Amino acid sequence: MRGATDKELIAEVLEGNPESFEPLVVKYQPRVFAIARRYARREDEVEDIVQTVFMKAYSKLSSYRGDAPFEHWLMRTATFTCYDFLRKHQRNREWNATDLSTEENEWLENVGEDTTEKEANQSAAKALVDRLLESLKPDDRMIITMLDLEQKSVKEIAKLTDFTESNVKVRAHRARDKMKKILATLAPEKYL
Amino acid sequence: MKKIEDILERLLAETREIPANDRVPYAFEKRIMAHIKEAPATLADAWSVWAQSLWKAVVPCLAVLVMVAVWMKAPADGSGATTPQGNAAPAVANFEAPGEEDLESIVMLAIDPDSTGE
Repeated sequence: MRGATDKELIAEVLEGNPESFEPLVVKYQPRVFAIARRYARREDEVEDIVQTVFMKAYSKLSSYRGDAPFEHWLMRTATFTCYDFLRKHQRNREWNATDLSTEENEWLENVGEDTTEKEANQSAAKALVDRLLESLKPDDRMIITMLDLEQKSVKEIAKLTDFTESNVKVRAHRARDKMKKILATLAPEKYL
Repeated sequence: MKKIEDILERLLAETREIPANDRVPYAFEKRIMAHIKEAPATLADAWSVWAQSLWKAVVPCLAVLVMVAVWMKAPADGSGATTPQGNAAPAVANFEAPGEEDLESIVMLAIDPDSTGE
């Protein structure tokens, strides 16, 4: 079992040996966890997403044709599972400047200035980005996350999501516009 | 004056710098494998549910069969109201079975096409 390739392990699973799926889970679960944490905040939600991804992958393993690496196929399954999660848990909460934490307000006050508290700055920035992303539609949120945070190419995103490349660009543009509008409502006198 | 676009870009850039959290809970793969090992049982359950529903369908299917048979037989008993021919017996297609010679020539045609003229 040790040192077997993905294709060998998959063949063994399809021959009726489910134990051969475990090395695949061990190998790819960190990546799937990292993806899931981009879309879900609570750790129990993250674990549910990852579990669903691997259960789907196992049950649909016979549909994996082997012409692309297993990792790509699995990441596509993870992307669709995260998309389903976002659709089911779409919050679209309205919020304004008074909802921001002290750290988030400070980040907006001091933006552009070099501060020594880099880590605190980053977590405040992440909290603000999370708020902005939550106000987007699930598919727009996925595209911005992949494009601007994971720095995937438009082509890669199109492959992962089944959108055309031009559709990805249009959605990204529209989503950024929406994020800018929300940012502008936070402190219009400062930023406009 | 700070531009909104720059602010958004800076927000995204700072968030990008945070390394992806790929920490895996202890023995998470065991949890996945436990669910996977339960999966065939679930599949077997699905088959038993399917078989049960098929058995349940037997009685209504038989009932429909009997009703159709009764309905088919009714005009032949002479009530006749449901057919345009009145009391006439329903028309039945009459196929004559091929004679023994015909059957032999059909079989021989398949074996030896040249023997048809004899």
